[in-house]
Amino acid sequence: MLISWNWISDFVDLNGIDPEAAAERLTMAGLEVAAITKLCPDALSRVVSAQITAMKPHPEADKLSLCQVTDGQDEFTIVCGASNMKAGDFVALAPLKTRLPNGMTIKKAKIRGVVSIGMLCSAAEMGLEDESAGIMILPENSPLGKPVIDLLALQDTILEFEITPNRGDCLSVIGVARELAAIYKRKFTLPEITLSESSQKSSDMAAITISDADLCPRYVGRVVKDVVLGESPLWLKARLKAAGVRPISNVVDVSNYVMLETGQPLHAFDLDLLQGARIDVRRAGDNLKFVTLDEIERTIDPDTLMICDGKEPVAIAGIMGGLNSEINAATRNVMIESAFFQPASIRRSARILNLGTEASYRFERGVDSQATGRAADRAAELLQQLAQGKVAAGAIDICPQPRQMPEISFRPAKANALLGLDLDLEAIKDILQRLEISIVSETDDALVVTPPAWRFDIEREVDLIEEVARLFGYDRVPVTAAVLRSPEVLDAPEVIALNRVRETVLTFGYSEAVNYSFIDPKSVSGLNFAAESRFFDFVRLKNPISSEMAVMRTSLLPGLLTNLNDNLRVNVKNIRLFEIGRTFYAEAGRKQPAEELFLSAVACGRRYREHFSSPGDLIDFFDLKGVLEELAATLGLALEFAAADFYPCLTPGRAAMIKLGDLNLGSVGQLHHQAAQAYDLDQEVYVFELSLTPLLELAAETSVTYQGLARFPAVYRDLAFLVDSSLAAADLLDYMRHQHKLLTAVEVFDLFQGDTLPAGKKSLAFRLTFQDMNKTLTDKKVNAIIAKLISGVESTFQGEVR
Amino acid sequence: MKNRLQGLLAEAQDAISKAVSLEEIENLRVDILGRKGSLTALLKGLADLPREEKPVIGKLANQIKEEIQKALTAAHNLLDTAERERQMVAGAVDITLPGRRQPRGTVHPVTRVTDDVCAIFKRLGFSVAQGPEVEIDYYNFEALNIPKDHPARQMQDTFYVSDDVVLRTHTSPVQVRVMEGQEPPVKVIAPGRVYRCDSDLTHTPMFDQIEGLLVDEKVTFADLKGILVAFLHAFFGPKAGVRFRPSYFPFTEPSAEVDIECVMCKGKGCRVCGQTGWLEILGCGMVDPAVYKFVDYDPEKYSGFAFGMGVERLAMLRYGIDDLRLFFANDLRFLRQF
Repeated sequence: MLISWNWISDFVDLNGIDPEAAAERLTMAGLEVAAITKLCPDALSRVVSAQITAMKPHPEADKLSLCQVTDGQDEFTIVCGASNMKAGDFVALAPLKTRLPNGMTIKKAKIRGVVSIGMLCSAAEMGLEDESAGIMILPENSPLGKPVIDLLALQDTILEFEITPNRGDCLSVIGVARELAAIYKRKFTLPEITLSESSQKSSDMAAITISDADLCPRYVGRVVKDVVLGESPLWLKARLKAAGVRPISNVVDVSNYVMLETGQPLHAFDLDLLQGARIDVRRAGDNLKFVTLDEIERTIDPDTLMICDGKEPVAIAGIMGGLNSEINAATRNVMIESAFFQPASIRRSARILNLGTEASYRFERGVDSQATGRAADRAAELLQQLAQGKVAAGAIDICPQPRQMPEISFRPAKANALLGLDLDLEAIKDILQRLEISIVSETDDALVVTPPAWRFDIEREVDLIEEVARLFGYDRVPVTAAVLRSPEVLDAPEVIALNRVRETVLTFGYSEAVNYSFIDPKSVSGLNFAAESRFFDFVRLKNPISSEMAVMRTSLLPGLLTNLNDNLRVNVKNIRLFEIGRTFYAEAGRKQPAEELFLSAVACGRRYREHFSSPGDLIDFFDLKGVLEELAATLGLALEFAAADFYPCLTPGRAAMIKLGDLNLGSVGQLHHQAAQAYDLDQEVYVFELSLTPLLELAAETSVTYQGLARFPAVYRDLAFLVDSSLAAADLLDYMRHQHKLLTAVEVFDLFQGDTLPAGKKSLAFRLTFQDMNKTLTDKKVNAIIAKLISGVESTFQGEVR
Repeated sequence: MKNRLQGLLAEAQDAISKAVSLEEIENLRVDILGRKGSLTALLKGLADLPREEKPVIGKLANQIKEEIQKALTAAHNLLDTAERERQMVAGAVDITLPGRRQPRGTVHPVTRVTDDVCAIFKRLGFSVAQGPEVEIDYYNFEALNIPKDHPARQMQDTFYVSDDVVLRTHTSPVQVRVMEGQEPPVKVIAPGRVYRCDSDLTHTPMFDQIEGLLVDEKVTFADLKGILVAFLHAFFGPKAGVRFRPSYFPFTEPSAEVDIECVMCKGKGCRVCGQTGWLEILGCGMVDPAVYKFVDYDPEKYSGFAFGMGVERLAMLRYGIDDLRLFFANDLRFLRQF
């Protein structure tokens, strides 16, 4: 909201107060001033008052005049295209080098053979109005050589406010003036309104009824006859401009002006267009179509409050007028509406209509129901002054339900206790009085107070406490090192486990990504998941930003694969990314979806960091499996990997399900070429997805128990078997690991497949560790165990020791 | 005998001095001192000497043996040192070449800042709480004193899943869930993702917030200032200027906006702070009694405060990041900087 500093000074004495300093004080009192600007750019001060001493037609051009102009010191010859001036007139002179608001810089120019030095300006050329009929004529006997904006008192400071929703009362010049008066302890004054009313009464010329008083507690109408439509004067246009409102015509400008000044939205009807010269305020009652003055046909719901004439609706109450009763070029007689509508009702209607206006914005937040009449009077006064209107006697003021202001009990001790202050009663009373909060009665420990009618945010004791804090100054409240009881501060075990998960993945060179939680449903289709899988149990947004962000993600892979592609495009080739984030699945019969925490990773490119001595090997299945194994070891959990014959987005033969006991926690493997294609990727990409929710819960229950160190030497032996190529190494490992308690570890240390071996065979070599915790092992004992092991493998797996 | 011994010594010394490799030295040792060596052979003749000569010649033989051994050792050491020096020269590496580093991933700046903020509040005695991201209207709005059609709903552009279910627009619903679940004292922070239907240069439809809540007996607005000033000084440094100014949130009263002195211009006014010298950093206030009603706390017995801040904003200020969208582009050239 933009507010003119000059305008504020109509209501409070601002003498000696610098706008910058005032902006700071207002901000610190809760009325945030976001910016301070000048109405006129500084360069405009170069345009000075001057007088035309002589004038004659241009010898070479009919429509141009040659003006001799003086600024009191020097004489200039100026070629001018306007025709509204005469010798002796006082005008606005832009000397050479003046830069005008429209970007034009005045230069010496030869126009049809005559040299013109400077320019005589119109108000439009000075940026003071949109269009001008001729050059600006200043008042007779204006002092010469003075900046025109100073002479006309047009320069102004504009404060840009960001008003919070609770302070609807500050959406006006008067509202801000009241705050300044309270802050600076100055007097706030409402100027007298002077009307010369005609003998004809408003109530004889129009009739007003309120059918739905619950939504319209007060409605004031004022009739102004015989208005002459025209332009508003410059001073009013300048104030509208300062407020960011475009001038239209004097009648429309007046209603805007009064709204900006008082905060009371007004509506001006063409009285002659109101059927039966009457107004009824009532609910629409039915679904109906209505054309608003922006020429849009809107559907009105039955509970929306409408202003109706004797025949049909003429305005949506508090939101926008109708095209059928709009002020137009032929308007003679005007009916000014100044009303108080229930804020909740306007909010509801505006939301349903999806239509917000300056008027609805104010009605939604509450307008002063006791200032309704004054606003109508103020508009009448201005129409009388500016549009030669004849004001009918008296207003039609229908007030079936005067708004009752609450009486609030306020304990100063409670205020001090909540704020951590020690204010005495007088200081508190002073603040209340500055805010025009009246003290109704007083007991030993409480005051009973009533807020002023313009305040909608003061209903409870705590609201008053805020007012005290606000005017006292938040910055003056002490900063205490609070002595506070501490509840449990240890991290939950799941949080600790999650940190370890992240740490582990980081050590493998994966960088953390964060993607939006919403995805394009098509991106899941690209991963080939079965239509009935839960990857399609989408939580759909009713109002997504775009179709690419229409559903909540059911997998982290779409985001990460897109990131992979984006990185390849900017020539980052060796990529390891992971993300820890939630996935969402709609569940039938439940309001809220299931949210599950996932860890997913994608990788491609070289296995080792680029280095002159590193081999150029590419990442493969075992790199990703290794991350998961290390993660399992870190958490003390036994993850298992089961060959996945079919996993839609992974390559058969290079894919595994990740299992923990019976739980299926995810998958790891090479991205299927079709999925890769869907994401525009043409190299080998490896991925894993791991559900963390159950993993973290189990990890939280797992604790580490120390194992004693061996005091006797271990015995190491290597053993290789020739087995069928199709035999899973894990089967052999599992078998061997359970053969003897002294055989404490078995690891694969070599895999060989090749021409030197029989077809369909591979050689697997194992390192066996034998350890007796109680004595030194003998060769004899170890040999006996190995002999048994070999015969067992040979008979169970048809393996052949090499 | 004596002469032969002397002759052997001279020969040996000559041979040793001519040796150029450790191998030759070792061969000489065997040839002279070994079991079949020349000195050994000569000494075998000792037994045949007359009895009175034996001690004299024996002593001389030992002296000669020792001298040969000494010569051998000296020559060995000399050659060994030379050999090792040769090896060292041959084995020298260019130490200016880059070292071999293990791959190491990087934490997302949002995570890093979240962790840092949480760590500060943990030291102040807060514990971490969480809540759902797809939230019921009641928790996101109603119970926070934002009824339907409240103007404050317009402050937050909401993503709707259904009429009654939204993507949480702030982390504040966690406050309500925590208070529903326990009696005071409450002292929690709740980091998490939040969503608003807004996307332009300075807004992303998803971002991260950290919420804080403290409710106990006799908690004051001055305590709120104490905790937040302590946090801001821990995060931005003890010299950072902090100011509290009145603001409005439906679920706190009194409410405040907290600004820190602009980290870029130190309060002088610049483009980042819009010439004001201040940066809005968090919103806070005393918990509104209306909220206590929803969770059955007695507002006459308990008081407390809540606060919330945007993580991306903190990260932008800390790292000098000028484009919000970088946080969600996941460009490794960006991510690897943290």
